[in-house]
Amino acid sequence: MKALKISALVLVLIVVAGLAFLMITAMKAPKQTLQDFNEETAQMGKDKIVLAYPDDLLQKKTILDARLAMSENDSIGLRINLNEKALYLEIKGIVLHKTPILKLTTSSFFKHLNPAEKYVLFHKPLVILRDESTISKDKFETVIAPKDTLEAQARAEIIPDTVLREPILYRLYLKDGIRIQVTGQLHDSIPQFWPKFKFDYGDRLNYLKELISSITNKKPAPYQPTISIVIDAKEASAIYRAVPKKGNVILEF
Amino acid sequence: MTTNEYLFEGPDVQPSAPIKPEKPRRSIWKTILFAFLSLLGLLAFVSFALYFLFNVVPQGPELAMARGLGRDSTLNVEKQPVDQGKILKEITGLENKIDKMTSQGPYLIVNTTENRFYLYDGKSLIREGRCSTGKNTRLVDQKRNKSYEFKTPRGVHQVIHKQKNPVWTKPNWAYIEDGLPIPSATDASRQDPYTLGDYKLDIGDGYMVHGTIWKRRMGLPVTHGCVRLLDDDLEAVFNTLSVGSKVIIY
Repeated sequence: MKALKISALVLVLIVVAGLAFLMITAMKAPKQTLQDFNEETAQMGKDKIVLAYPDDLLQKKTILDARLAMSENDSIGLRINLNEKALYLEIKGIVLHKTPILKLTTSSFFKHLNPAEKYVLFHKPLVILRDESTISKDKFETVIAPKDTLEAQARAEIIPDTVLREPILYRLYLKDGIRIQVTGQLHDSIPQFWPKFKFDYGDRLNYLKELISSITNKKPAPYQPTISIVIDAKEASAIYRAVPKKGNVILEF
Repeated sequence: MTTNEYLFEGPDVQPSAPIKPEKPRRSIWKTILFAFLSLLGLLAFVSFALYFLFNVVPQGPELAMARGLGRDSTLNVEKQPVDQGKILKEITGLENKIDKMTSQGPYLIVNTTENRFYLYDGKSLIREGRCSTGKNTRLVDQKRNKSYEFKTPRGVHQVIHKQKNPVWTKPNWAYIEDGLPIPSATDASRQDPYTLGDYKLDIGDGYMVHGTIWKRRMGLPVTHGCVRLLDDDLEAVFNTLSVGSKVIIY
């Protein structure tokens, strides 16, 4: 009995110590990322003309430079204004669509960047490297041609169902390790907990694997500065389908 | 031997070591409380650890850690005396460039997800309303081993041709979809003067902005790739846009 008690205690202690170690490693990751970024930007510090700008004007220049660069592209781009809490779809400088952000959460990485660092990171659009989503970019339904006019007429009478019932969740993985997570706000009557759980925690399990592997390989812990946004589900779907696979994203602070 | 002496003999009456005072026993309630609190603490820690490790945007500890950094940037910023006027001029120049990009003339924006259109003249919205766009289907003709995709093309297009009272030359898929035999390419039945409504604006690759006889379906994704508008809206769009005007579809 006594041996069993000791074994249980040791097991609990191992679990607690393991979790504590993982947490501390994970907590160190933002610091490491910021330090790496600072070292990188320090190399670029020779660009005195840009850095001599007053902060407010530098912030303005950051967004204007980014918008101009994005307008050179022929495809639709996404602009996220975190101050205004709004998302914009733009093409060639024309604003096609604006939608309010209902809920916004950002990693501390963004809160601790100064205007010069923001310029370095965001004066050009960030390219979407890949994405993960619960919906498809191009929804296509295959229909077999009707045999006769009767079948064709019966089909013609069907009114397409455009009501959103599926949860809209997607993540855009951008250049420089930045991620945007968008959640479409559906009506409360539609169950969303499990799909969201599955979507988020699948990703988090991967993160945990990466974290453990970084510890075993003695590499810096993974850290992806994330911006999590909740918008109306229809708007979320429209934005996801409008922005091309390797589209551009501008972040405005 | 006296009786008393005899009585003190035997194993039961051997002189023994001094008796240790018994440890006061912990009350059962205290033990339960201790176990409960330990378990609670352990659960709290594990929950916190899991919450932190499994949060998509970790907040508390991540923030605390980042705050500990201080924000003394390592950027080699040399605050030189700057010519504020020159910088302002540059910023204004950039703003003007962006402004000029917004089309000076009229243009049409089509949202295919919500099936709505927005007609702009420069920066001002002059009309908006419902439209119908592609149904996003692939029609498979098994007899002829062919397939047709009905999707509205996203991107920037231009009006390349405008026409009043257009006549639609029905393509093969129109017959296949209706379950009818396909007539020859020159057959008169292919000429349909009603379906496109009063006006059409060609935007390239066979796609058009036109009217419809299926007005009850307006606002739904039911077309074969063209953009359908109601009569009044179509007239306004036709009269506002000219050849070369932009039609932006997303």
